[in-house]
Amino acid sequence: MPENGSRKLTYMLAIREALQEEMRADPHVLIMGEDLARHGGGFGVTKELWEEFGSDRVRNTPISENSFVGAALGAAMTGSRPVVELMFMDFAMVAMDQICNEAAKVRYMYGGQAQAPLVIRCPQGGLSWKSAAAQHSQSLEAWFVHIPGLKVVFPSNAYDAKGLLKSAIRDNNPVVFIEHKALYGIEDLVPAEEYLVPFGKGKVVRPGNDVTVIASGYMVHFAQEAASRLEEKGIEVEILDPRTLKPLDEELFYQSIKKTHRAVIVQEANKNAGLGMDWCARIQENCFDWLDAPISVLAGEDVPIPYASSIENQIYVSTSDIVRAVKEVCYG
Amino acid sequence: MIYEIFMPKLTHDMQTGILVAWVKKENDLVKKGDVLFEVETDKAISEVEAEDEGYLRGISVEDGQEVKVGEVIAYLTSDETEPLPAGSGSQPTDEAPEQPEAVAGEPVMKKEDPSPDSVSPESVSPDSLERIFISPIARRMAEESQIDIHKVPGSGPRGRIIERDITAVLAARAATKPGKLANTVAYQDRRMSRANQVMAARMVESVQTIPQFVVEMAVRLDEVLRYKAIWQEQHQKKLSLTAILIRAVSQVLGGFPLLNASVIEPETIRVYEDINIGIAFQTAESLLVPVVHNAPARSMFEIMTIMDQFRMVASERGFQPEDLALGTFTISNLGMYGVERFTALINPPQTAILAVGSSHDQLVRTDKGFGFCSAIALRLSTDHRVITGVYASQFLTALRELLENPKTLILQEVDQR
Repeated sequence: MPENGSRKLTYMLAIREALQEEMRADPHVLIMGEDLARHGGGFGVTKELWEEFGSDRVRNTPISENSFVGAALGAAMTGSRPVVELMFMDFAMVAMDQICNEAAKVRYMYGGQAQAPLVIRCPQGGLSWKSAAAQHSQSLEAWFVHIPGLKVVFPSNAYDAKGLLKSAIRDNNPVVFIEHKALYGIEDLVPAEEYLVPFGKGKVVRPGNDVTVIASGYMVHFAQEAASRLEEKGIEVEILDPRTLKPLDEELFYQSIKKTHRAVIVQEANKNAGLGMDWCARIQENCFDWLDAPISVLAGEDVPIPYASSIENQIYVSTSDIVRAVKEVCYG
Repeated sequence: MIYEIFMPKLTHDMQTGILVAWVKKENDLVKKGDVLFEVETDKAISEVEAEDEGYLRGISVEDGQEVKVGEVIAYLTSDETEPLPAGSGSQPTDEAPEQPEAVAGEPVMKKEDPSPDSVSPESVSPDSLERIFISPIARRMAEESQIDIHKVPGSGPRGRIIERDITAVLAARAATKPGKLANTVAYQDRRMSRANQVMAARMVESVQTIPQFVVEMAVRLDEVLRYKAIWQEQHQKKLSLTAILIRAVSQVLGGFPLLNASVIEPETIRVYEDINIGIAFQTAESLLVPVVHNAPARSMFEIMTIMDQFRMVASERGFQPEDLALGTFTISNLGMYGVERFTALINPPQTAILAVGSSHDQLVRTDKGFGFCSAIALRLSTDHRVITGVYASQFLTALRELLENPKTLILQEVDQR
């Protein structure tokens, strides 16, 4: 996949590069959020952009998520293409009305006469460089996938992060762009020339014939580790990363499972009403006659994320859990 | 109360058994522990005992019949007049009802629903008694390939039939009949005889477990033929080359203990002190290997007499188990069929087998130029886990030396009885 001129780039720098390229290309693109300008945002993603684009297009906001998401939505409806950063995705909760009740419904409520080309960047998840506890570590993708009118994107690597963010900025509908905090420092090959990653197109991260493992975000990396271990035991795992949670590349799931006859779904979020259960239901609706074992859904524990890392580490799906589940569906 | 009596699964891989004989007769009152019938498997004949008391009734299988594991062959009833389930009696059922497999040593009887007020036994089909667990893909594959899932053992949890179980059935099917050709090529499936099945199992074991290599040596036969004629003149009896080879091998084998041995576990060789030479015999049904026990102590005459007996017995199919047991080395001679040389497969657990070809003229250099001599090819297959090429060659050299100077071998009687 990497073309000539690819470089190693971290997930964070790939996101920054996407913002920079789109801002250079389109003067209507602007970014806003808490401490975004000089400080570079909560995690340093937007560093150096204020120096290049100035205070009109790189705007610091007060701690007032509902207000500044609302302000961004207004800007979007009147011709701008704002990219908002929520410092932690957990803070989307105070902006739920603007995201779910307003932005998601603009195109529909105005009969297509208005649109909301708005991107909301949301760092989420646990297991990152330091414990962030119950109010800063959640995985909330299912909340937004549930809302008609929102698109939800969740890249697992630098290449996809850049290509998907550029597609998100060019999309004329609101996009919830989820970044996993633990991935910011992870490098991947990223082409120097411009490219886009389309929505609704999942990726076969690793081909295999024995079992399909579906994962997104940070969990893709755990699945890859498990697949390497399983390879030694003679089990060929096919890993799928949907990349965009909505629209969802269901066909990719079905094609793979019609080949392997077994599926394990891995998610960081807890199981209850989560995406894993949603995918599980879709698979059994569409692939029932091809299944050789019950679909296994691995998910985090149904608890507030603990602060103590010794406990936090135990509530997520581990590589060993994936290995065990794969063996079980393979009746190995 | 009615108990079904069915063909038990006596060994792990048993699919059918031959009901050798009923020990109890129809309407006999049977006590718990009484022997009901005898079953022959490919391993042994076993007695099957009653697990309960009752009258033996509705025998549907005759002595000598082959029966599938799990098939109901009779009933035990607590009184003499109790009605038996439909389809029982003298006519055999053509479809064995699905039964839970009895493991060796476990009861072979299953209690029928005893409650008199519930449905009569006739209305309960065996299928409805047992829910079959099967994965969707396995069910679909079974339907597409017209596999009866009642006959497929499930290897998943709770006996769930899963994809690999169906794949195994398809593989077995493909091995027994060519699927696509079945429509165009006439064929007939024949059941292997027991002896054939034993041969099949042993030969598969041989090639799968023993790394075999072969060495061959030509042996001049002129002297053997000369003394053979003298012997025949003396005894007024035919002497076969096979008998001479048995005697020659038994004399030489003492010096090569590893060729008279078995690998019994990865690190252990069992070297036999007795030398018992088996000789491959074609019988009406299959290949059998009767054994000349304690061959080194036997005279030429004795060995030839034993061979004559074997030949008679082989044509009548009547080897006794002791004739076939305890061989430590095997000779296979196809010379009389015109085969010049061939490779034999080791008869496990032995470590070697000698393949003997036909005697033929061979061009040799003589003092005067060239001439012909009689020769045979002796080809030794050996177990490379214990035998080396040099060891095998030394054995053949010793054997050749003895056969090319065979006077004492053939004419001197060891046993003066």
